[in-house]
Amino acid sequence: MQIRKILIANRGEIAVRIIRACREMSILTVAVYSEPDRSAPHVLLADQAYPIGPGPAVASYLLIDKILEVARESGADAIHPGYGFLSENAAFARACEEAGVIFIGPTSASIELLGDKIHAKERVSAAGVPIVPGYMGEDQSDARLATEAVSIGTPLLIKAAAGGGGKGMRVVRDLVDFPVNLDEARREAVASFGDNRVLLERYVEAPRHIEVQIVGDKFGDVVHLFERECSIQRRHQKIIEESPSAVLTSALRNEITSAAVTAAKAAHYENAGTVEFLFEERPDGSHKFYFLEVNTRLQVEHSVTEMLTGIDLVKLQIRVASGEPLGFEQSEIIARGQALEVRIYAESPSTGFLPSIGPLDQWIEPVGPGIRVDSGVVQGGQVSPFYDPMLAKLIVYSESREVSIQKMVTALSSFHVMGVETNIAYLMDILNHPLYREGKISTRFLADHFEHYQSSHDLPEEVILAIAADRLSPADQSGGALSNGRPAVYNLWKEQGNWRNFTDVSMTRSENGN
Amino acid sequence: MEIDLIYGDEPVKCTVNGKNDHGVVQMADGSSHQISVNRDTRDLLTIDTGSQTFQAAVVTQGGKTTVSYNGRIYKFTSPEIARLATKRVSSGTLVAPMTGVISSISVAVGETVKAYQALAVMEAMKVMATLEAPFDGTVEAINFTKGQQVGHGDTILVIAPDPVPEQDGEKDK
Repeated sequence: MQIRKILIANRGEIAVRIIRACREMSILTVAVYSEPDRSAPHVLLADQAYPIGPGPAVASYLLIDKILEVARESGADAIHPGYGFLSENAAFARACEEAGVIFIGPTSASIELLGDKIHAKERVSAAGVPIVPGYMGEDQSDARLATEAVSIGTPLLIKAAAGGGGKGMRVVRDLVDFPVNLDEARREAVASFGDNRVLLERYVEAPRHIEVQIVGDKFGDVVHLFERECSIQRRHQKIIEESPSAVLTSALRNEITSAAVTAAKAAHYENAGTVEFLFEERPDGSHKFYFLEVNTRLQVEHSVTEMLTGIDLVKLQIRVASGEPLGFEQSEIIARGQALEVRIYAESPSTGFLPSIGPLDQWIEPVGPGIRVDSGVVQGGQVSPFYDPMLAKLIVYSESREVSIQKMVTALSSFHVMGVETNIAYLMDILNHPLYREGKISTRFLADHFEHYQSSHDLPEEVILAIAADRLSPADQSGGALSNGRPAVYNLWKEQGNWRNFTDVSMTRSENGN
Repeated sequence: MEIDLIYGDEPVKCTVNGKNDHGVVQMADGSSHQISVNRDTRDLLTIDTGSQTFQAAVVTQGGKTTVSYNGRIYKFTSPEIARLATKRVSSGTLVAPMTGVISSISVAVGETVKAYQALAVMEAMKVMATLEAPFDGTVEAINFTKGQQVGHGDTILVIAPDPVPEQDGEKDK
């Protein structure tokens, strides 16, 4: 079925990025927005925009019925969920299917299957994909768990079966401590999830996070678009992603990408998805990888793969969702050079990474060959406390990892953001770390080397000269300048948001009147 | 023009003379630099010193000057603002460390509190920040209630310290 109009059930950079893809495909776009996002870039760019509620996501971007109502009213034939919010919500995908609106993503059945971590592991393991050796059986007796612990060996991880977020997790390094840790894990599991069942797994020390981008069509064809390494994480939050991974040989790359395709086919996966693996470098120099989970959505870091392969993943998602075949073979997908991405967050590394909220007084993005900025904010905009603090992704591409790192550092040094604090200097310091440059990284890298991070306080002479230069060349005072020099141009459309086809025009007007 | 600012605890002074985007900067150490400046429509400054060219952005608002240069942010205050800030630290005024929403307030006006006792929790983008009592004392004022949005630097609570006689004289200075 031909898709003519897409509703984007998201905000920020990803909504903007999807709108751009639609525009190139001559597909009309419908934005939805919460009150504080009234004049956000995604609202301005979309062909139509509908308000769906106040700031908190539970009252706006997570309202399934409201979003489907807007889809019906605006005549959208498809919904792109982006990432986060409703993107991995099986109930939302099912509601779309039932309403006859194309959900641009996998089927609700796939989301459901893969959303259950235990079932997902059972399914892919049965297809021959390696999983972390462990026990996830129904027999939860002390004796059985103790026997399984011995056969798995140490270090061993005890996890709440219903869990997530580190609750009910215990690392056992000596089996003597197993019973005590089991008791504690069970107690925490009951307290957090009301379910005392646990899983046992071999604990992989300092693993790398390597994931594989896959895309499937409605005809059962699945291809991979190579890997992304996302080992640089702060408290499980990825902040630097790259491809290719510095650690994969071409033999290992073949193995891990084939495993990803096998996993996807085992789940009858269609549309874009990411198969995540834990990658272990053993002391003897050998390597192992284990299936972790499938993210049933477009990832934040999809842009890395786009730079590396030249394939526009959002357009591909739209094409396969409309029922087209992939249209190319695995062998036609070629990865060249090195792509590197960093996430720019509104947070303050100097105060323990507290989110930084406020007006964006200055927002100047870097430009140049091989530099891509996916952002969802503009100068003069407001960073609100309601959503993820990611402001933009900066992606660079070049012929090698070394050159890409240098290009990224240079690009970051010409990214000017003021009004809110960002992690730009922090990212530069990570990229300049000798071990990062050598590719010797793991998911423990930031905890090991950047735990008590403080940015340099040295004051370069250039900064003093800049202040002098600012006084010497004052901002243009004509046309009702603001204190920082920008003319206060009042733009009605920017203030109002784009409310064409708006159901309750009078409300928005009065809202904006004050 | 005299430039007189504070960076951290250090004074930063220099003099700039010139017109039409060209000038001479006299640094505190006696050295001087010839500069030419171009300000583009985005307010990005391109500065040519003769030996090098670099870019920076400068925002000045309410006695505070912020510079973005080479990926880092440098914050300066006027000496007056710096003096006010020092005064506030020694008081029991608890200001919001970030813009966010009050999740809970666990004390009431008049209640006595111990140093490091959690008084209120605020939240922004799923990050929680706990406000603790800076010293033993009594809650003098609470300016917000649960669920209210607060701006960075807003005063949430005021704690009056338990009297410590030998410090009283110091405070009035």
